[in-house]
Amino acid sequence: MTSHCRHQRSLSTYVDGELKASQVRQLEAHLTGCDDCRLELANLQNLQGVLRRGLQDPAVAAPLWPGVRARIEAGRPPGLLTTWVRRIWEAGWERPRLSLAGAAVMAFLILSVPYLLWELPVAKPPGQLLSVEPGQGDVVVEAVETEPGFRAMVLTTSERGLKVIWVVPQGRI
Amino acid sequence: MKRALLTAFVFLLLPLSSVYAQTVPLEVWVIGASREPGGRIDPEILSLVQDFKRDFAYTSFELLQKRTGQVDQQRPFRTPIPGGRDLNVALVGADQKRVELKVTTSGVKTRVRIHRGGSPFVVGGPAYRDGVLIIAIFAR
Ligand SMILES: [Zn+2]
Repeated sequence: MTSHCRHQRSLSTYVDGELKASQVRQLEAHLTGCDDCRLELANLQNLQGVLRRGLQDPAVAAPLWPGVRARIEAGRPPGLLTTWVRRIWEAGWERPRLSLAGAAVMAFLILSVPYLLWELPVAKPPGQLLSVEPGQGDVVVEAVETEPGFRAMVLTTSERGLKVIWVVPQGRI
Repeated sequence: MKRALLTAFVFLLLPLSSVYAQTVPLEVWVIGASREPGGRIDPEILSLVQDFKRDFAYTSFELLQKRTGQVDQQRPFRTPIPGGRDLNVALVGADQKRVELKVTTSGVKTRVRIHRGGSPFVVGGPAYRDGVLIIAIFAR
């Protein structure tokens, strides 16, 4: 594994504020000289902002019972969320890599398509959150792409763990 | 040596691709969910809907449409759904247990893997009358 790859893997942990001080110093030193990692970092930070704002968005939260919403807000570990979203991102529709073209595709997706995507472990206590990671269970969502003007989120139902893609037109409500 | 490598390569690719690719029977349920007081639920969809009732702020669930069809790598499954939209399901790959599908409907395009005879993949949210549509796709 090259040092670049190693740093790239720690970016989401960095965004979540969970890296050790020594790792932070190493990563920040690497960032000064690596365009790929800086772009990836900007994407992740942007995405995380979108996700945080999404929780307060009535159009997105409306289909959920208030109790479920409250439990999501109380019990959702952001680290897992970011990791999960990142995986979806990386699994993207055309599997964009961090080549120049891939980076352009990702930047385009993030910046110009109204796009909200998250995993909501609906109404599950935090201890069980790991069980809803992709790759487990019956249904695996590998990629989601919305048309302009729509937002989508990936939900997991509380009882049977069904995967539900919820699509809302942007600006509704 | 070259041939051995080629054979190994082909076998590695097999599980997800054409040799096992086959015709996959699909079943699609289109459910209308609303907040009508009184909360009516079609008995046929009761077990599926229990989950939605618990998590989603809808009280009434009506089975609007039930379609069966099949999909293979040449022919996607396409059906009109209430509200003047289309649902398109294309087969990406399949083996005996699982299928990988590309599902396209109003506003969203997604790629999923589901178990044959297992839980459905669900898309919800398109507005319909006073509520929304919930579409469940089963692979048989
Ligand atoms: Zn780098």
